[in-house]
Amino acid sequence: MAYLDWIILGSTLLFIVVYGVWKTRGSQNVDDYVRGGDHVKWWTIGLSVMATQASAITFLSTPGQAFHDGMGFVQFYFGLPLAMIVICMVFIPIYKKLRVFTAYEMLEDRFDTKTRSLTAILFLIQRGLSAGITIFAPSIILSAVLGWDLKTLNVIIGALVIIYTVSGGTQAVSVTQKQQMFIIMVGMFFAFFYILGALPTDVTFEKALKIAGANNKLNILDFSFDTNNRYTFWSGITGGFFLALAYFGTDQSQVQRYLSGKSVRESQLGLVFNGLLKIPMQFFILLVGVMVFVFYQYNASPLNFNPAATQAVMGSQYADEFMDMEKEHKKLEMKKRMAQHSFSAALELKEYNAIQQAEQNIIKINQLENESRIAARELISKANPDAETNDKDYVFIHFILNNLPVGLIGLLLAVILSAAMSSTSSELNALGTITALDLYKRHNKKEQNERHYLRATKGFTLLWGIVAIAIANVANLFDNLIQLVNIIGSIFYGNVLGIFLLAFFFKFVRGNAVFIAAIITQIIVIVGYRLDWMSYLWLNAFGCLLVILLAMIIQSISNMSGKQAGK
Amino acid sequence: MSKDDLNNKFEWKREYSLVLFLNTIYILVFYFIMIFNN
Repeated sequence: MAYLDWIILGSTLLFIVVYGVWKTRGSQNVDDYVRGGDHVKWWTIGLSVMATQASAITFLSTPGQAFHDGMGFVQFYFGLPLAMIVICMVFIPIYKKLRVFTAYEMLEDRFDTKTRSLTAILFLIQRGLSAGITIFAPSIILSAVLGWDLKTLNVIIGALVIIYTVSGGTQAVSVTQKQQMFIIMVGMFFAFFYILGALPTDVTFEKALKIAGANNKLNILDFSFDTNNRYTFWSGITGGFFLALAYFGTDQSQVQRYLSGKSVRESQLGLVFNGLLKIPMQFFILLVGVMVFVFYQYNASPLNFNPAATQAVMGSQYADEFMDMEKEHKKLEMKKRMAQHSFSAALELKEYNAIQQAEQNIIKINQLENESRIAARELISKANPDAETNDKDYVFIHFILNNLPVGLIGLLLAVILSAAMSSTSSELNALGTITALDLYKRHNKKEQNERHYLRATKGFTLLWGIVAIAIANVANLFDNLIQLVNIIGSIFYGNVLGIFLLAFFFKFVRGNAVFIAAIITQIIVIVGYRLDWMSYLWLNAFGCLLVILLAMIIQSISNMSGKQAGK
Repeated sequence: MSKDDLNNKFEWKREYSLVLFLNTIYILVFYFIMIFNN
């Protein structure tokens, strides 16, 4: 990396930390620290909500997803705007009316203390693990491509976040996320226009879209009911809706963002902002990935984008075989470039038959290229069964480091680290708050003053920061930790969402019925997962429906036995 | 919390219609991008 890149990267990150600490200095009470003093404006809430969800892996992985599989992934977000409306109409007015500090506090008012504590603990397990992964995921990629030390990088990201999150709480998270979102969007726009400028002069944006379309990268919508397709319009609208409802409505790392709103209206407008911009933003990130694909139609690309995987095979007995594959890959790339030029010329002349012929030729070459990439992955697996052969996460970072000019590389690395910091700060902020208020304060019998609980919240935030760094540092000992975190999330999320829906919509159900139903549901969901009843992604909906059903049955039985006893 | 605290009137606001309208437009735009480039 050039000095200019280091200067841009270092000064951007330093500015965020110093600005966050300086701008929010002097929080005197828990209200200021946890709810940002209730005076955050709607656009800050909107940006904060978006920045919390967009982690570093969003900007590393999503373009790679589009590069390999096209833009269908955007459908995953189709349920999100609907969920935003439901949260605005149902969740926010109640949270604000009760003036709660945490989402789970509301459950004590509605049910009882044990239900509040149970959901708080479920949140801590799930979010505590994922805070570590939010740090680990970009670190492992950046350390692989830049040769930086993984553990040092984990500590640097974690420490930077801890400094301003512990110091300024929710307000620091919100103000820094505004800067981070600005840097992220500026960086992505620069990258997008740079790619367009780097394409051959005869390839306009319109032609680039045609090239992407010819290679099935613009199959954005899939209206089929095929359950084998993970991303369809219908799964996005239904599954995406439930997931977004659970995440934005009950996960404290998101709830805390909009609880800081000046009024109900400001909080609602913050989520409306997210509902309006989320899909275009994801579309744009995917479009960047598609343009990277078009760029590599004219420029050399590696057979596998993960340098660690290539190193693994090159240091094994399969090195010669891999080198032969690379030679074949280069030949294919030459053919592809020529075919793309023919396609472009045919488009210019608007000759239908020539366009069709050139298109078929490109599709054939890209199919061969795909097959050679799959064969390369298989060879890497043979050389090292533990190597990460899926190079989706490495496509965009490879493009950044090998093709962008000096200065822009530093800016894009700042984008990735800013995204990692923005998600982590919300997570630590929420973890500290829940531990301090839902568990420590709630179960502390001794009367304490405001300053004590402010110090306790800061202390727990620091503690969770250290735990997150520790998890990030041991994460590479587990082969599939990221998947494990997703599984743990799916095991708990549905149950928690069900409890909240019971609180809002099933007024006759009371605390004991909910608590018993939640415990039984959790056991059944875990058993269901162990016995492989369904794909773990469906555990969300299953857990949600089961806890509602069980709570209603238990409450009905309890009501009937109460009546009989009264006779 | 009494049950009354949860008895909120679910109020529909203009901006929710805007969310639905614009997201429908986005999906239509995606559809046309897909159709015209395939």
